Amino acid sequence: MSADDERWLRDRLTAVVDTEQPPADLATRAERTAGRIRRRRFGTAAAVAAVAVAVPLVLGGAGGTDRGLPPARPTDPACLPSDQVLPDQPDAVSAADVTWPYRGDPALRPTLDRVMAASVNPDPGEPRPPARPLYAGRLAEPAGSAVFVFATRLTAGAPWLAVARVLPAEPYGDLAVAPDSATAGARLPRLGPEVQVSLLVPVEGAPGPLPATGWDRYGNLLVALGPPGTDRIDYRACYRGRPFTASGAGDVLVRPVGPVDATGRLRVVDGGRLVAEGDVGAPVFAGQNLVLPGVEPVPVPAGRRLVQRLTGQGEPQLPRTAGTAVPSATLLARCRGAEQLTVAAADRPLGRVPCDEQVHVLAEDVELGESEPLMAGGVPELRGGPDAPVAYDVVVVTAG
Amino acid sequence: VDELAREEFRAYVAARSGALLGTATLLTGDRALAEDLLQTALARTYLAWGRIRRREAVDAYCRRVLVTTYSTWWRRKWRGEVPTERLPERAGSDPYGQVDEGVPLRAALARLPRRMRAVVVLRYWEDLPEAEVAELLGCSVGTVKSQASRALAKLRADVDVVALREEESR
Repeated sequence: MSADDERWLRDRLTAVVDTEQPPADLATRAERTAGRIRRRRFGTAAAVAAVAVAVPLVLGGAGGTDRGLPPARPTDPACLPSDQVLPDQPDAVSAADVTWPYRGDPALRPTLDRVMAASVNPDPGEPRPPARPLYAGRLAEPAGSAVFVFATRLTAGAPWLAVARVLPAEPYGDLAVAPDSATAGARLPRLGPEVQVSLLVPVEGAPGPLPATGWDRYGNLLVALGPPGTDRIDYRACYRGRPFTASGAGDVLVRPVGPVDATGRLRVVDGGRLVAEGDVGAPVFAGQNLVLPGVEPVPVPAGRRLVQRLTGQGEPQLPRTAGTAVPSATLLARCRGAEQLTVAAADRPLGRVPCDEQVHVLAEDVELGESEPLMAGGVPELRGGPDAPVAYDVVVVTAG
Repeated sequence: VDELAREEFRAYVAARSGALLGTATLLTGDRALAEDLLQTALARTYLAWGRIRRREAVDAYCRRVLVTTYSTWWRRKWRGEVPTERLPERAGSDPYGQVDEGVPLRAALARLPRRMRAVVVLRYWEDLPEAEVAELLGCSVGTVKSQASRALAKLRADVDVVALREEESR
C-alpha cells in the first residue's frame, strides 16, 4: 500500500470515528465503575489475607510438618516435547484412494459434490484430481454453517484433506456454495484406514462474521475422522503449551476450537500412541475465499420460458444439478468479479461475456444435451493465472 | 479523589472521550462493547488519577488501559469457551456480527484478526509510532510492521474497501 493509500486510510478512519458521540454521563458512569472496582479490590485483598492465614493452619495438620506446596500437576504427555519424527507417507498412499465410504447427512451430499467441484482446481490442461467425499454435517451453532470434508490430491503426490465451511446453511439441504464460504486444506499428517485423520482448519481470513458458540467466536475447526465404525475419537493437542482434549462418540469429530490466533504444536494420539504431529499455525488454504457480493438476477425476457437459472459465485465452476435436454436455448448472463464469465456445456464452450454487471446474451440457439453439465466460471485476467472468483447469474431460456 | 481532581477528570473525559470512544469502537467493532470498554478504561484511569503526576501523561495511560483491557477481555472470553459434546443451538452475542454494514471500512476492519485490527487502529488512527504500538501490544516492532503490512494488504483487497474507493473515485 502506498503513502497515498495510508493517507486515505487515515482520512477514512477519521471520518468513521468523527461520527462517534460518547454518552453524556460517561464520566459519572466511570466514577461509579471505579467505586465498584475499588470495593472489589478491597474484598479480594481481604479474602487473600484470610486464605493466607488459613492455609498454613490446614496444611500444618496434626504433625505440623507438611508445609510444602502440593505436588505440581503432571505435565500432559501430549505437551511434552518430542524428538519423534514421523516418516512421510509414501506417495502411493493417496488420500483420494481411501476406501472409506461417505458418512454424514445424506441431504447435504449434493452440496458436497458442488463444493468438491468448486474446490478441486486442476491446473490448466490437467485432468481434475480425484476427490472422495467423506463427510458432510451441520454445525449446530448460531452461524448455521455446514462442514464438508473430502480427501483429494490438490498437488501432485501429496494427499490432502480438504474441508469447506459453508455459510449460511439455511435452509439445509441442497445448498449452493454460498458467499462467505471458506475452503481450507492441509496436508495430512498421515492417512490410512487404520489411522485417525485429524485436521485443524483455521479460517482466518474467511469473510463475514465468524461463527460463535455463545459469547465467543472461534476461528478454527477441529475435524477428526476415524475409520468407519470407530466407537469413539479421543483427541489430544496443545495450544500454547496448554493441553487440549476433545472426545466424541462415533467416527467423526468436529469441534470449534478457538480463536484465529491459536497456534501451537498439534499431536494426534491414537490409543496412547503418537501417530502424527505438526505445526497447526501454518495450514495451506486451497483456492480463494468466495467473497464477492452477488449480482442482480437476470430478468427473463417477455415471451420466453425459463428452463434453468444458475446463480452462484466462486471459482472456477459449478456444475448444473439436473440435466434437461434443450434443443434451442438462449443464455443470458450477468456477472462481476472476473474479467469475463465463460459458460460451457460439459467441455463445449458456449460463450463468454464481460463482467460489467450488465445483462449480456451469452449464446443463442444452442442445443444442450441431457447429460451435459452446464458450467460457469471466471476467466482470469492473466493468462496462466489462477481462476478468477466470479459472481454470476445465468438464465437458460427457450421460446415461449 | 478530591473534588478538584474529580473536576479535572470530568474535564478530561469531556475533551477526550470522543476520540477514545472512536478507538474503542474501531477495536471492538461494536458500539455497545466500545462504551463498556471505554467506561472501564476511564474508571481505572480515575482510580490512578492521583498517581498520574503529569497531566499530559493521562492520555497515554488511558490508552494503555484501554488496549490492555481490550486484550484481557478477549483472552478471558476465549478461555471461557470449552469444547463440549454438544454445541449450543441458539445464537449468542456476536459483536462482530453487529457491525454496521453501512460503514464499509468499519466492516472491513471487523474482518481483520484481533491483533491486526489493533495494529491498524493504533498505527493509523491513533497515529502512534511503531515502537509505541509494539510496547502497547506487548510484541516486537517487527511484528507490528509485518502485521501492519498484512493488514493493509487485506484491507486493500477487501471487497467493501474496494467498492468504497471506487465510489469515491467517481
